[in-house]
Formats: sequence, structure tokens, C-alpha cells
Amino acid sequence: MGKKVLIAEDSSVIQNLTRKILEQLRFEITMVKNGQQVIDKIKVEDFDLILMDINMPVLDGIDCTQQIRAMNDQKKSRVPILAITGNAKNYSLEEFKEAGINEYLPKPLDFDNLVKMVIRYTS
Amino acid sequence: MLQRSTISPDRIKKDNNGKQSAVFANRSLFDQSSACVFILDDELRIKYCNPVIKTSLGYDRRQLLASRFIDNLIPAIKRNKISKTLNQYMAGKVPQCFNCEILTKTGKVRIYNFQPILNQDIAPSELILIGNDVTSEINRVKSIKKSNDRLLDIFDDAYDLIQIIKTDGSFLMVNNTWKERLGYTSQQSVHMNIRDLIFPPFLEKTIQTIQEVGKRGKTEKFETIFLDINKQKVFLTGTIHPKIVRNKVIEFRCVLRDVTEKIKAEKAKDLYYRIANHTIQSADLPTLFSKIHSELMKVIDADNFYIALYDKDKDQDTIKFPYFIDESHDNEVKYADRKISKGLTEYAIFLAKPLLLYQKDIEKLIAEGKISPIGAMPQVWLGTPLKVDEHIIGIIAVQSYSDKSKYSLKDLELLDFISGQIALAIDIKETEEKLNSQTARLNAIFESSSHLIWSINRKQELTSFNRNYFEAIFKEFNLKPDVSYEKDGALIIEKYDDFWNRKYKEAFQGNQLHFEIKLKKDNGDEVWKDIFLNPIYQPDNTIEEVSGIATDVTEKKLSEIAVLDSEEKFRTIFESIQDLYFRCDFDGSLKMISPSVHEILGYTAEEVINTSITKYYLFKAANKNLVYRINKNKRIKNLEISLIHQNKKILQCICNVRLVYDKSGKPYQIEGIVRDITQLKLANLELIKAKELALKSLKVKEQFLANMSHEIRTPMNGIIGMIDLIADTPLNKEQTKYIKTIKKSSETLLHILNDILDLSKIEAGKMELRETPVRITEVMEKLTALFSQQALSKDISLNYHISKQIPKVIICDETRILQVLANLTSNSLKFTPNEGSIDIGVKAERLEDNMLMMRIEVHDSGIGIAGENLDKLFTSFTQVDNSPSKLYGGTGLGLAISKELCTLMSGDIGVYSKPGLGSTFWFTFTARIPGATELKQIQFEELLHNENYISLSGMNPDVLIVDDNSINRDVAAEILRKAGCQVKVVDSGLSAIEHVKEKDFDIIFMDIQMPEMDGIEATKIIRSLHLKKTPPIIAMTAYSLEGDKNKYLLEGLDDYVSKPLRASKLIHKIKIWLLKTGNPDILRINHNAEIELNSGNGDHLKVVNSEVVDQLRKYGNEDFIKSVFRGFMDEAQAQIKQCADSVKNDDYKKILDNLHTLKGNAGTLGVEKVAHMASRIEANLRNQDRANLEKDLKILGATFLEFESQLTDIINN
Repeated sequence: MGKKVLIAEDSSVIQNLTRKILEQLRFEITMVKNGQQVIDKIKVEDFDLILMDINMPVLDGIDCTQQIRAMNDQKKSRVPILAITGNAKNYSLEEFKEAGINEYLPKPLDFDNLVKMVIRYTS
Repeated sequence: MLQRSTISPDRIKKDNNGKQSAVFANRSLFDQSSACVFILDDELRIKYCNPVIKTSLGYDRRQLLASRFIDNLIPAIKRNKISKTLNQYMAGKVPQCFNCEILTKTGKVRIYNFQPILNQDIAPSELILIGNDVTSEINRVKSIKKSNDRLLDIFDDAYDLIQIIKTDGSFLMVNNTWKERLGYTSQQSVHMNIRDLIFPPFLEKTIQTIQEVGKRGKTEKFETIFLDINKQKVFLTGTIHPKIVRNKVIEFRCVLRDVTEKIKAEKAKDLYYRIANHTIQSADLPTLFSKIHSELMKVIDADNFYIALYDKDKDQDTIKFPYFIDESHDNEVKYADRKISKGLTEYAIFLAKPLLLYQKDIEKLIAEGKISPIGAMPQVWLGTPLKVDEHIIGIIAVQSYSDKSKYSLKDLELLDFISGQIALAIDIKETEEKLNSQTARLNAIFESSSHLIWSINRKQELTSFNRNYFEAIFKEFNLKPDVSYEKDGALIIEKYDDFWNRKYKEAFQGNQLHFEIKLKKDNGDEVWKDIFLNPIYQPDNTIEEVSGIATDVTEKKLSEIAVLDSEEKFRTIFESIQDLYFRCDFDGSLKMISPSVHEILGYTAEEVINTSITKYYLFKAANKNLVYRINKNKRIKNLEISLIHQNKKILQCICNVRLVYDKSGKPYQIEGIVRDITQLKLANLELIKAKELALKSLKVKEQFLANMSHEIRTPMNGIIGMIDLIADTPLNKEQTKYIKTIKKSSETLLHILNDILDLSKIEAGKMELRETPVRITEVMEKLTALFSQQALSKDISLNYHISKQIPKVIICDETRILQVLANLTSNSLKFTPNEGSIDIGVKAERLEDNMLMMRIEVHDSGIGIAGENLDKLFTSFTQVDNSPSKLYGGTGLGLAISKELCTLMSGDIGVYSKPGLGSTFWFTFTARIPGATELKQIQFEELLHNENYISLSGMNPDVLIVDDNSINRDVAAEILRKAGCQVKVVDSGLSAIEHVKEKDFDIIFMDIQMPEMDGIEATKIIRSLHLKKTPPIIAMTAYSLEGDKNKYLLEGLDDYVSKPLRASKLIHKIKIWLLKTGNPDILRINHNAEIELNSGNGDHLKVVNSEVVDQLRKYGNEDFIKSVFRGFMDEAQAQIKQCADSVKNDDYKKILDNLHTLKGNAGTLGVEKVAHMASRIEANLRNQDRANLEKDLKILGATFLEFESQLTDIINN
């Protein structure tokens, strides 16, 4: 079994891209469209990594991350979270770190960097 | 009952009705009567009396006839009354029977009951009195009455409470005792029911008893509790009798005895025992007090209760309240002490008597000044002294604030009764506590003593020992001592037995012994003990035990031995010492001197002893009060003195002196050791001179360097400025080439100059960092621009890569980073052969808080450096100095400066290399990541300062240039004229002042260093002119230390521009200042520039960047790439449509969301033109600029179509 990655991304383009790239590398991918779905999903399943868009409808990436970090189950609350962001809301690097995001991958997305980060945080 | 006479008045009356006159006429009827009959005429004279009077009264009828009835027969004292009564009847008053005392012949008094009858048949009327002797009857009645009264008295005076109640419980009768005891009057009792009286808890039982007595009709024993008028309990016991009339109980007679006091007494006794019991059981005094209080509560009302203790022998002037509970203090138990004063409590204690005081008594005491009011005023206060053996130790008291009837003398008695026991209890407890603490104290001393303590009995068995004893014996002799079972453990070791036996025997004979002994421990070591043996005397003066106290004196003993040894050593040293040792009294008389005195001063020891020390040293101000100082500081170290040799030569010496103490710890001598340092001193002087010289020359060198670099800068300014100008004139190809060379050389020279300046700054510690917002990409661009020409000439590819982790803007010192980077890069260029490559990588090493550790690596494919030389690279200052040819460009100076700079930036520098494989030079530095708001500010500042986007076009500001140096003046003037300024040049401050008076300038450039009047002074004068509009004054100076800038600003200048002057720098300053002074044209230009900056024209962008496609190929085949782009196309199409739709609805947020996603997606896939357009529209929207929104969206649509049409080709390629 490959490592399990949860991808939360509003745009299907980035969704597909990341999924296909990571599937190529034998990661097991689950896709959701917003932060709320992340919370729902993570409650019933454990993941090795979450790739998360910051600018999502319903529940944005920062709030979602904070909720995950506050969970009681350490297996869930300590999951590495990589943010993918165009940073429309102009968060600072500190704000990402404060929310508990491990790393952020700026848009436009650099695939090599994405792969490098995913591998680093799942091994 | 009265006995009836035969002639009853009734009968006579009856007779009266019919034949009255006949009856009266027939007086013979009266003669027969056994009653006494008198007939009186109207003057109350006896007309007739019947014979009975002879027998009954002893009178002869004839004697009495015609005499006055009153005068003869009535006792004198009654005559008036009777006379009055009889006259009334005579006058016609309705006659009524009356009793009357009648005198007999013998003078005795009989009592008669007379029936008076008025006979009016004859005139005048006559009064007939028919009387019966009722004396005996009256007497009987009297005696019956008397006996009745006597019974009533008994009833009333009985000690018992007697009551007669009806079956419904109402009172028929109560006796005096009842009334007195319960406080109700007879009248009150009539309206009361027994139910009102019974203490409620007893009501049911009492009524039940009464009812049962009623049912059975038999006397019963009876116990109950009544409440008196004050609602105080009255305990009663007695009998209840039913009174039965015709088989029916009609009333109850209760005879009750008041047993209240008896019960109280029993309770008191009980209390007494219980307190005694608590004394034994309570752990401490507070518990005991609390127990006493709760016991007291069972007997009397003790809501407000306290105990005060005062023993004038012990407590002096403090009265203690170890227990105080009071409703005015929330009923919490309080403990308090207070100073003895004139309180009621103290009064009672000193009076030493039980006291029951009502409010009025207390007020009276206050009025009389015997006490002072303390606390709330009780209505009644009850207190009894606590006495132990006739010695007062305090009081206990109860009080009430609400009910003065709460306590009586009986309560006082009770309190007094138990006070003895309480006093005893307190005393016992106190003694006990004292004893306990005494024992604890002794025990603590016993256990905590550092001595070994033990005791033995006559059988030499251990009876007690402390922990130290146990531990010492166990440790030293491996024996575990135990009480009474063994012989004295310490000293049991056989070979000492005799010794100890003897010693103990002596002690048991009453001798106190003190001796030291040496013992051999179990491990063979020796220990010394200092031992005391003391007999313990019993009260009867016998000795049953002996105590032993021992201390380990091994160390002391050993040190004594050591002292003896060392004394021997000391003597040897003393004899052979080279320095001079001395000892003298406080008056300076030398008492001891080392034999070395001969060698040092030329005297023999014998000559010196007992002479004054002052003879041998020079008196100097520094040695003033020497003895005083020694005494004060106890010792003086490194005191420099000059000794006088026997041959009058002066020796420079240094000495340590200190006090010498006698056994009692009092200083009595001074000792010291003196060393001749004359030679040392001379050498030192030489050294200081040499150092001063060296320092001086160093300063001179530094000064020279600074001056020189400054001096060189001024002509350099001219050279470079002029080169810029020449370059702008028409030149042929050859000339251009030469000019470039000249320019390059001059810049290199300037570089060297700057390095030297840096070096002197670093050496002077004056190098300070100028941290500004820096775009690292710009730094890299600047670097490549700097070296691209050089690289190109060697066909070296110069690349850089910036990690994406690094924020666009960081705060650091760009100049210094560029400097280090340039040093490393130029190094690499030098050592990299043609067609090689230099790769520069910029990475973030780690992030702590908002501090980013940056790492820049410069990797070359050069010749590499051998390991042994690597270390030297960064530390080769001196080499540089020795070989001027390598002054710049060599690895020496540049790297050394770089290292210093990196250290300054909290970073490091290093290299790793292998010969033939190239080298990697790296350095790190700390940069700060700006916060969000700071970042915005930075962006604004950047716009303001961006030289590329602001031009002076269309503006012709008036500029005044003030400089005494004509070259500088001309350079500046030419640059500014070319930029379109109206320029006026003057050569002195004075001249400048004249000009500003005549003409308004927009800006003044002022040289600082000018003869006669310098720039600062000129500026001050210009400011003091208070012109209508004082233009900004910018300093021009070759001084380039950072601190200088602030100095000029403080001196009144507005800004600063450093020489050599550059066209861009000057023009930029003008723009900034025109902007700041509020030129609207400039503002407009700036605004446009901002938009220009954000948008760019996008011409250089690609429809699809094939590099991205190549990158994607690594992760999948063509199908994958196609599907990704197809997905993008579908989504982008929808997004562009949504944007167009949303414009109609003014839903800008939705447009923003869509554009943001589109921008990100397009950027990710390298669809650059679309990404650029989306980004531009997004930026405009965020700035609320919607002017071109629809047009731009159309352009976006067109751009997308362009992408769509080219997509297939691109992918297939």
C-alpha cells in the first residue's frame, strides 16, 4: 500500500494534476473540494499527508488546518499539511506557520517542488 | 350553720300581716320566748324586756326598764354605731337583722343577732328587738374561718407549686409559690391554660399523663417542664390528684416541686466531670476550649463565650483571648491578644470575683471611670475568674446582647463552680504543652547535636544514644548499638575494656571526666575522640547512669601534627627565601626578617631587628596612612614601594602586607613579603614605550588610510563623472572602447578604495549594517549584470537559482551581501578556465521566528583548492599587505572582508573544494522576513524610489549647486542640465545665500567641506532667512560613514548624496524631493508608474511555456499531459464565462475568485499569457480600478483563444 494523501483543492485542474502526478509515484489519493470535507474525511480515515488549497469555499485552508491541529487524536492532529496557495488573502509566512501548516507551495505550482515536498513529509 | 330561734322573724312577719296588734299586745308571748326581746320607745329607752335576759344576760328586768338600751347594754366603743342604726330603724328604715355585742351583767360581751320590728300601731312608735345569742355560732364560724385561712396559708406558703386545673386545662387556682416561681399573677393565671406553660417538647407527654389520671381516677406521679414568664425552663416533679364528684373527674390538683436547681446542679456536676475528662483527652488547648464551650452550651446559654488569660507574672501587659466566640463576630472562633487596658475583662480579673453585671452596672462602672467601653455593650455579662492555687490566670465569661434575663445568679454559681475545673484544665494543658515542647527541644538537641551522645547504667549497658552515636559506631566499628542489650558499643573493643572500665568507674564515683583517646577503626584507620563522661545524679543524689559525649577530633589532631611538620618546612623556606619577609609591630619596630635582607638591602638580619621599618623605604604620598589602610583592609596586595639599600640606592619593590592575629583573633603585628622588581620595572617601562610607539604608528596609519582614501575619492569623483559625460558625447568606436576601459579601471580603483575604507571601518568597529527591504532576485540580477561581461569574455556560463522558499522581499544589508557575493564570484571567475560554469544557489537554511538564515553558494568548475590552503583563505590579512600587487582580486583582502561582513550579519563563510573538481564558496547571513503590513509599506517605498519608473520628463526644476570644487560643480551641473533642470552653480556658501535671497529654487545641492563657510553653516544661515519657501537642501559629501548621514540631518540638512556623484542618484534625489514637497505633477507620474510596474506589457511571455510541459513529461505520458491541459481548458473556459457574466451583476468578488484560480492554474501549467492577463485584471480589481474591466476581460478571452488554438501544436512538439 502506498502512503495516503488527501488532496483538498477547489479547482479540478490542480486536483487532477496533483492526483495524477502523485499516483504515478504510487501514492494513494483521496480528493475533496473544501475544508469541511477535509474535516469530515479525516474523522473517519487517517492520512499520511494533506495537500490543501488555502483559498477554498465553505472552510478555508487556515481554519481547516487549525481545526485539524486541535483534534484530540494525535494521529490526526499531527498529520503533515502542505498548503498550495496563490495567497489571495495575503497571509504572511508566519501566519501559515502559526496555523500549523508545515510548508507552503506557491502557485504557480512547481511540480518538482511538490513531489519533493510530498516525499519529504511522507518518509 | 346558725341555730334557729323558736320565734323566727319570718313568723313574726307573718303574724304582722293579720293580727299584729294582738301579738304585740300580748306581751306574755314574749315572756315565754327563749329569745331575748327588748321593746324600745322612741327615745330608745327600754319599755319592756322578757325574763330570758335574767338567764342569758344576768340582768333583772326591773333594773333595765326605763333605762337607755344603748347606755346599759352596748359596749362603749359600739354605742355610736348601734345608736345610729337603731335611730334609722325608728325613723322608718326597712329593718334588717344585725349582729350586736351586748354586755352581760358580769361585763362579758355576748353577740346577739337582732331582728328589729317597728311597731307603729301605737304612738309614738316602738321598736321591738328580738335577739338570739349567736356568740357561740359566730365564734365557731370564726374558728372555721380561721382554720380555713390557715389551710390557705399553708397552700399559699407551700414550697411546692400547687395548681388546680379544670379538665380543659384552665386554671382554677394557683398558690403563691406557683405565682412567684412562674412570675404570673392570679389574674393572669385565670386566663391561662396549662398548655401555655408547658415547655413545648414536653407538652404532649404531660397532657397525656393528665388525661390518663383523668381516665383512671387515680393519683399519679408527674414530671414536666414549664416555661416561666421569661421563658426560662422550670423543671417540675410531683403528683396529680383527680377530684371526683359523682364518678366524674371535675378538676385536677397538682402539687409540683421545682427541681430546676437540682437538675442544674446535677448538670453542673456532670459538666465538671466532663471537663475533667476533656482535659485528659484533648490534644491541645484550642480543642479543649472548644470542648468546654460545647459542654457549657448544654447547661447554659453560651452563644457569646470567651476565655481570657492573663497572668501578670508571665504576660506582663498582654491579655490573651485563646477562645473568643461572639455573635457580633459572626460566631467564628477568634484568637486574639491585646494590650492590657481598662476593659471589663481586665476589671473582672483584677477584682478576682465572680460578677454578674447588667448593662446599667457596666454603664455605671464606665461612668465611674473604672472601665472603658470595649466592643459591643452586653445587656448582661457573667464572668468568673479562673484560679489555680489562689492564683488568678484569667476569666471565663458569657454575655448576652439581647436578653438581660438570660443569666441569673444561679448561672454565675454554675460558672463559678466549673471555673475551677476549667482553670485546672488550662493549667494542666499548658504545662503539658510546655513539657512536650521542652522534651521535643531536648530531643532535638540530643538528636541534632553533632556530638555522639550516650548513657550507660552501672552494668555498663547502653540506656540511650543519639543517631550520631549509632552512625559513628556502625561506620567506624561495624557494630549496631542497641539499648540495654550490649555493653557500650563504641568502646566495647576488648583491648580498651580495662581503660573504659576504669573511666566509667571513676564517673560513677561522681567525677566528671574529659579526655582524648585514639581508637582504631574496623578498617584499621585511626580516629581521635574527645570524650566527656558525666555522672547523672538522681533526685536522691545517687548515680545510676553516666552520660558520655564524644566528638571526632581526628582532623584537629591530624592537623596539629601537620602543623608541627609544616612549621619545620616553613623554617626552611624562611631561611632560603629570596624575597624579603618581615614582621613588625604597629609602631613599625621590626620583629622578624628573613635572612635574604642581607642580599637585598645589604644589612644583616641582626642589624635590622628592632629598628623602625620606616628607615628602609621612601615615604611617598601613595604610602600615606599605610598602617591605617592595612588595618582597614586587613591586607594590601601589590603595594609598590621604594626600598633604600644600605648603599643609598633605591630599589623598586612590590609587596604584599597583611595583619597578623594573635590567638584571640586580635591583630597585633604586620607581616609582609617584598620583592625587588627594579629590573622588571625597567623592562616594563621599555615595553610601555614600545607599545605607545606602536599604537601611535597604527593610529597614524589608520589616519593616513582614511585621509588617503578620502583624498583619492575627490579626484575619482571628477574622473568618473567626466567619463559619464564623455560617454554621452558622440564618440567613434575606438573612443568608446577606450572610455569603457577608463571607466572600468576607475571603477576598479574605486572598488579598491572602498575595500580599504571597509577595512578601516571594520578595524575601527565602525562598520554598521544598513538593513533595508531587499528583493533577492534584484541582488542576483545586479550581480550577473556586474559580472556578465567578464563571464562572457571567458565564455563562462554564469547561472543563478533562487529557492522558491525564499520570500520575495527580505530585510538585510544589500550592499554587504552584494559585496560578499561579488568577492566570491570574482574569485571564481578568476579560477575558472574558459568555457567553465559558475552556479550560484540561493537557499533558505532555516527559519526561526521571522529570522531567516540564508545560504548562498557559489560553485565553480575551476581548478579547486588543496585542503591545506583552505583554512588560510579567510585569514590572510598580512599577506595582502606584503604583496601590493594582489591588493584587489586576490583571495586575500576580499575574502577577509567577506568573513568579517558575514560575521557582522550573524552568518558564516566557508569553502569546500577538491583540486580539479572546482570549489564551492558559501556564506550565510541572517535576514528578517517582513510582516504583511511592513511588506505593503515596502512595496510603496519601492515604487517611490524606483529609478526606472520615474522620469523628470516635462519638468524643469530650478536647482542650485554649491561646491568649491569646480570639477564636482561641473559634473553635477552637466548631469542635471541634461536631465532638464535649470541649474545655477556657485562656489561658496556666501554666494549661495545671496542667490537664494534673489530667486526661488526647488532644490539645493550643498557641498559640506568648503573653505570660509562650510555647507552646514551655510544651510543654517539659509534656514534663518525664513524665506517664503525654503527649498530642500541636500548635502554632497565624500564622507561615507553611515553615522555621517545622521550628523548632517541633525545639522539641518534635508538629505544626503555621497560622492562620486552619479547622474541617476542626483536625478532620483530631485524626484524624491519634488514629490515630498508636494509637486502634483510628480505624484501623477508616480501613480502611472505604479500601474506600469504591476502590469508590464507581457510581450516577452509565451502562450505556453514549453519548459513546464517538459517538466510534466517527467510524471506521465502524452495522455496525461493532454488530460491535464484539457481539464484546464474546460475549467478556464467556464471561469472566463463566469467573469463575463458577473460583470453584468457587478459581482466583483466572484470575478476575483475566478481570476485568482485561473491565474494559479494557468501559471502552474505555464500558460503564461493567460496567467499574466488574469493577474493584471485581478490586481486592478483589488485596487478598485474597474475602468478597463470589460475591455480587459475581452482581451483575456482573446488570449485564451490564442492559447486554445496553439495548444495542440505545443503539446505535440
